[in-house]
Amino acid sequence: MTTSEVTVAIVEEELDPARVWAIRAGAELEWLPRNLQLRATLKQPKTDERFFLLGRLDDYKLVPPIWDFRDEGWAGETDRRNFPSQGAPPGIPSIFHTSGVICAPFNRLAYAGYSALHADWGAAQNWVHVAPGYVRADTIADMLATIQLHLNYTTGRLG
Amino acid sequence: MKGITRGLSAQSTITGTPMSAPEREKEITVVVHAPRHKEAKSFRWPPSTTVGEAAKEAASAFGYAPNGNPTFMTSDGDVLDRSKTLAEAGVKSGDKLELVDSGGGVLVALLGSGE
Repeated sequence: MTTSEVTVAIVEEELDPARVWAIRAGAELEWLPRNLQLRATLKQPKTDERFFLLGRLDDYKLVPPIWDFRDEGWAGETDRRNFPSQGAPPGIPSIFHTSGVICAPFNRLAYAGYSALHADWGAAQNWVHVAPGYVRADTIADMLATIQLHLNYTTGRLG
Repeated sequence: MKGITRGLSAQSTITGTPMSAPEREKEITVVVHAPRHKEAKSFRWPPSTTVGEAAKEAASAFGYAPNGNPTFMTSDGDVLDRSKTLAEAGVKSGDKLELVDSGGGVLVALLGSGE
């Protein structure tokens, strides 16, 4: 089994409950196994606008996915207009950082070598154990649910 | 956990410290969904149980690691305060709750600001 085949097997096992969650949450999921990408279309309840969350899952789960927001054509990487404004449930710091990065241990972009928001976390391979006490999500369904939870409390876009 | 009757599913119930009949009658029965599981589970708790205690128990039943910060989201999308009791949080028998993690964004939390 190649590394890619292992990743596909892991992702597809986790996608079963993720699809059930998506039905509950009103989200749409599209899995592209050849590209190791997951496309999730989420709705921002306060505006009824759609947000297009791309998960790049190469080497999952040795390292966490790369999660970022795109435009409707799944392009527009780093475009702040695709990223939600800050927001989170009362008393909970938002995972949507003003730099346009989902700042959570389950996003590879938060680590050194990517956005470098968290050089203090060390290697992304430690993602399941870093930053105890903060947001935890170590399956695809839990990550999607966490991102949707925070999206529920946002209004509009970052840019 | 003293005085708490735990239901891991509608079919299999784990009972903690024996409770009086009136206490059992007051118990709240809820259905909990967790993102990582396809099937929901039913739980029964006394209304005096805190949201945090109940969510920890539910998280454990769903196989979550103990280092999380679980709480519940109601069907209206409200995230419940972990320090409140189920009664104070307005949880009623028959409610459907979603298990969520109440941990925040790390950089924001480390900086201790809204940035």
